Amino acid sequence: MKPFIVGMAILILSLFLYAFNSDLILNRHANADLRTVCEEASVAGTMFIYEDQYGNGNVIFNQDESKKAIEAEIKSMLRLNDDFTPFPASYWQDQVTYKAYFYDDSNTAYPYLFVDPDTGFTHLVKAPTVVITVNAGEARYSLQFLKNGADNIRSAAHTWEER
Amino acid sequence: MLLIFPLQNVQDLINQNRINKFSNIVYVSTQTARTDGRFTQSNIERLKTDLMSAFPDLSEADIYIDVTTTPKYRTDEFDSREAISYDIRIPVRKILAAPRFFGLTDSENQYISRRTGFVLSEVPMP
Repeated sequence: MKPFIVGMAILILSLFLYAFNSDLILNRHANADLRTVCEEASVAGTMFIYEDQYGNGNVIFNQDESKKAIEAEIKSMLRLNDDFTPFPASYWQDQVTYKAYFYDDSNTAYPYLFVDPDTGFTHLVKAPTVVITVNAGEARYSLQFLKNGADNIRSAAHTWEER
Repeated sequence: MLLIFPLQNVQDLINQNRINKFSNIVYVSTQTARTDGRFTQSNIERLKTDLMSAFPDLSEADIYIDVTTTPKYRTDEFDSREAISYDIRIPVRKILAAPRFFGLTDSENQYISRRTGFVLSEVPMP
């Protein structure tokens, strides 16, 4: 009887460890992907500037158009509906939120040290830059006591460069 | 039976490493497409070559590539029609380390890893 009980205990423990490890690997990958999403969204955000201002030597982001591109990029890469709730095929399960910070010739004295209030991400702004922070919510953990963990939040910055 | 767990953990790490490598190769290709304004034939060929050299089990027929090959341009206003989209997929052939133990065949023990999205062209409108 004793070997059976010990065997069952080891089996249950192994199942728990496997479930945790499997979820951890998935979350690590999804979190790294989230960073890529922030990078792509920040690149998209820097693509739109006011041409007339550029003619005067100023780089000023067209924030309305930039936000359209940022939102389209986030929705496409994270597989989200128009209201930023995830499709069933998405890894994420909570409504995704994002913040966009625009630093350009209209509102910034360079250099400026950006510190993200959500992630602690720092970036020294030396030229027009867009910083994106995406909060994708909680990770998928199957073990009950690991649920309600910290949100997955990542940031990235992209600097407008003249080509 | 308990041996399955460490074997499966190792298999999960191998699969994750494969997906990471796949993501990196696709990333390089999409950034090239961004500067070219589209996925050029040479970019697509290089993508296939990189994937097949990174994953020797892949043949050209295993790789699914659906990308924008027509020129796209940088615009003043966001226009989704000027986005360079991509949908690239490869098979991950071994989900479970011991599929026979669960009565799975090789064809049932695989899934498709997919990278999809779009990038905006950096080529100025002529």
